[in-house]
Formats: sequence, C-alpha cells, structure tokens
Amino acid sequence: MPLMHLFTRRTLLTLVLAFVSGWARAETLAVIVHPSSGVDSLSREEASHLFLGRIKHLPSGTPAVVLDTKSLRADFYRALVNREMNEISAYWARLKFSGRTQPPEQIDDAESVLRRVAAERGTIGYVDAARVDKRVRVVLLLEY
Amino acid sequence: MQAAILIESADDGLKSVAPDSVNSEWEFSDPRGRRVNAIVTSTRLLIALLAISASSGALADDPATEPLWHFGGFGTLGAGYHSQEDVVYRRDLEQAGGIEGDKLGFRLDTRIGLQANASFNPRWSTTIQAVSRLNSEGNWAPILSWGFVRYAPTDWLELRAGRLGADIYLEGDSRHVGYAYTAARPPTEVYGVVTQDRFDGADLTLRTPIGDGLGSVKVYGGQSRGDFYLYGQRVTQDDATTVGATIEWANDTLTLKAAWADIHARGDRSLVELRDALASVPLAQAQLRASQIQTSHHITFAGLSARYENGPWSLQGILARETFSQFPRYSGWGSSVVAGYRIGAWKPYLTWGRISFEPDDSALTLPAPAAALQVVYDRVVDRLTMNQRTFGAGVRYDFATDYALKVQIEKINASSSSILITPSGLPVRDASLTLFTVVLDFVF
Repeated sequence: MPLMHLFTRRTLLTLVLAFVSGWARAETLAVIVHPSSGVDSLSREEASHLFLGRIKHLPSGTPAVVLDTKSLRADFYRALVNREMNEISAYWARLKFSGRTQPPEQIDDAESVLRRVAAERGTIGYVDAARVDKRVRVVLLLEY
Repeated sequence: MQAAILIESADDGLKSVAPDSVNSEWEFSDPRGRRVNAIVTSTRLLIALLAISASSGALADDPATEPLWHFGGFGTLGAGYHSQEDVVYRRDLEQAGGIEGDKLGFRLDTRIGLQANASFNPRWSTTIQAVSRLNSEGNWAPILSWGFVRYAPTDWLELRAGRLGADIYLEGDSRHVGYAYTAARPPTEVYGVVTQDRFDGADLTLRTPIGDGLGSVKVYGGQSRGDFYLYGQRVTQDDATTVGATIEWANDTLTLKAAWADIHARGDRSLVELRDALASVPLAQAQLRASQIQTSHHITFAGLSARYENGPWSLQGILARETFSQFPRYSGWGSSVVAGYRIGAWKPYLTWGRISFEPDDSALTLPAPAAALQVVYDRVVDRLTMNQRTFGAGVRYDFATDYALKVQIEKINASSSSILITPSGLPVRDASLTLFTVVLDFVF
C-alpha cells in the first residue's frame, strides 16, 4: 500500500498545521461609522439593509451615506450576503433604473474611506479590520 | 394640488381597432393629436412637480446643500433569428415589429435608456428617465418612463408623484433594463401582455422590518400610459386609470412579492358597431350578446412571484392571473421560471414560460342572412386568444464590469398568439419556431 506511506505522522501534522494556520489567517472586515453617529453595533441584517439600499438611515435616525471600498467590494458582499459582484451589479441596475435608490459611493482606497467616515457623521463604510483606528467606530465584523 | 389639477386636465378618449376585415366599418380617433397632448400634459406635470420639489427642498429642515446629481443609463444591443416564415416574433404586445422569419433582426431587444437623478436632501429627490425602443408605431421615439419627485421622511414611508411604473415586475419596476435580468428579456408569457405599465399619478410605500427581512406595502394610482400594437394598428386608451397594490418581503436571499394592478378604461367604443349590429338581429341570443358588450372594461393583473439568490444559485418564478373584461371577457394564466447558476463570469440558465388566455364561452349562431356578421363576431370573440409556451437555455457572460453578453436559444410553440404576429400584424395560429438571440447589455 504505497499510499499509506504518504500519510506518515509528519505528513498528517503538516496538514493539520496548514489547516489551522489557514483558519487563523481568515481576514476580517470591519464595518465602520463615525464615533458620534449614535450607533454602537449593527446586526448583519441591518448592515445588508443599508448596503443593499433597502433602508437609508442609520438605526440612530441619521441619514446614511454608504461607501464601498472598491478593492474590498467582492470580499465584502460575499461575506455579507453570499453573492458575487456580478450579481450585486445586476441588483443595483434593478434598483437604480427603476428609480428606487442609488448604489453606494465608490471609493478607491481604504484610507479615503477612513477619512470620510471620520469626518462625516452619517457615513458608513468598511475597511480591513487591521486598519481601524480611533477615528472611527467598528459596528460589525465580517470574516471572509 | 397643482399636480392633481394637471392630471385631471389630461385628454380622455379611447382608440381601438378591429380586425382588418372590418376596419372600414369602425371609427378611429386621431392617434397623433392625443399622443401629443399626453406628452405635453406629462411635461407640464413634471415641471410642476420639479418646481414643488425644488421649493420644498429649500424649505426643508435638512441642511441646505447643492442638489447631488447622478447621470447614467442602460442599453441593449440585440440580434435575433428564426426561420419560421410569416411569423414575427415580438417580446410584448407593444412592439409594432420584431424578428421576421429567415431574417437577422435587430429590433426586438435593442434599446437605450438615459436617467438623471437629483437628491436635494435626504428627504427629497427626483428621477427622470427616457427610453428609446421599437414602439407601437414602429419607430424609436423615446418615452418618459420615469419622471417623479420622491418624498421619504423616514425609511418606513415614501411618497412619489409624477410619471411612475406599475409595480408588477419582480426584477425592479422596468421591463427595459436587460442588464438586470438573468435572461435576454423579461418573460414574454407573463409581461408581454401588460404593456400599459406606466401612469401619471402617485404611489405610497410603507415599510417595516419583519424577521430578518424588510416588508413593504405599496398602493398607487393615476392615469394610464402605454399602448399596444394589434391587428396592424396602434391601440391606446388614454382615458384609462390605473390602480394597484403590492406586498413584498425581501431578505438577503429571498424576495416574495404579491402584485395586483387594474387598468380601467371607460370609453372603449371599439365594439359599439358590433353591439348595434347584434342588437338589430331578431334573435334572443344575439340580443343577449349585444347586452354584454360594454364601453367600460378592466385589464387586471394579479401575480405571485419569488426570487431566490444564494451563492451561485438564482431561481425565480412568477404566476400571474390576467383578465380582460371587454367582451367576451378573457382570462388566463401567465407563468415563468428562470434558473441560473453562476460559474465565475459565466452564468448558464434555463427559462420556461407559458400563457393561456381564453375567451369565456360566448357561442352564437346567427341566421344565414347574417353570415357576414357571424364572421366578424367569431373574429372578435377569438381576437386575443393566446396559448403559447417557451422553453429556453442560454448563458450570460459578464465579461467586464457593467457589461453582459447573453446567448440564448428558445423553442416557442403557440397554438394561438397575439404576441407573435404575421407581417401584416394579425395573430398567429399553430406556430412553432426556434429563436436564436444574442444581446449585449450594458449600464453606465
């Protein structure tokens, strides 16, 4: 049984370590708001209602300005609603051209999103959790 | 108030048509004049609403800022082919043409729309959209598909007034945005017969969270806009009113929708001469049929639909009860299923659709001297009968951001159809064809 030789104890240990380290490397996205937005946390449902344009105010009542971080969009929507970007684009075409609402503002980089959220009370966006600082408040974490 | 006055001042009246064989016996009103009036009325309505919106926006409590404008659009370049001679494939009753047999055609799905949206503040905004597509007069004159002012003081209440769309579609409130659809076009067997899907009026939407989703109730009403191309003629009902209601619930994977809409025309004189002729026949059954012909009628749509989207899967189904109360009263079902599975940029899909639209039993045997009237009567009774089904397969290829290429093949069988027509515009009987379609959808 030559195959058995592949699964020596050392090989198995290597596989387990690879799996564990892979698990630990799971990236985290942080949904962020202004510290004085009046929002401490958001449920996943509340976040998807906001980012998919179903509601336009933060739970505190502040009108929401929703921002997409271009480089993280695909991971964000996969983590939030399990949909690919092509489906999200078609979704927004439905809403935008039936006069319902406009899609989130597209921002090129995470630092610009952090600056906007830190400066404007109703703004909500998302960045890599490792980039979050005191200027903003994290209201939801999403692993992807 | 100003908006209400303008709506009431819109022209009234109705034009309709008869089968070719009896055209000369029936009267038609002037389509051009009425259409111009309708456009002028709509423009005045829109200007008035924009003025109200602009002033209200300035007076609102929200911080005064410059309006935030968004400009964009959508379009489809489409080509289609089938080999069935003497059959023109249309996607709905509105088009005065489509794909003719044994010819490569480009008029079926091709269209373009432009939209401007302005947000004055979080509560007030306005949207204007125009769409150019092959219309009921066989040209590409653009229509005002949206032109409204929105007032949304909270997430749970929204009021819109102006040019609006009947909320009957599962994929957004439009049948023109190809990019929004998985397949090349919305299901013909469900939406192909409801082309009076615009109105000048108002709608009110109430929303509330239910479970992990959001529920909404919408009611709307106003003066109908939209028309048909039947029997080689444009048919419009400018005096008709539209009312409707929608209940919807949506979460991240599932959307459930129940939609009802009723279009009520009050001045349809298209069958008056037939009624008078029947009334003059000394036969009880003929008198009965004459008494059943009214100048007032309803077109009613009542549909249930569901869309499921999760990971690579998307599945949507629609079942709609459609009725037309004009003599002899037509009723039937339109249904459709579309299933797709995304593999990266590719999304293969299958479609199925069926419509049955049958007249009520209205048998009448006239005496031999009225043989000519019998022919007309039989044609009128059968004028909108439809039994059509489609099975299709295709693939959507999202090859770049905001662009999708779709290649689709459909097998269409129709024992009777008014959506399929002959080159002279008459209904088709016993047709079977294979339609090949390629479309390029885009948004910008």
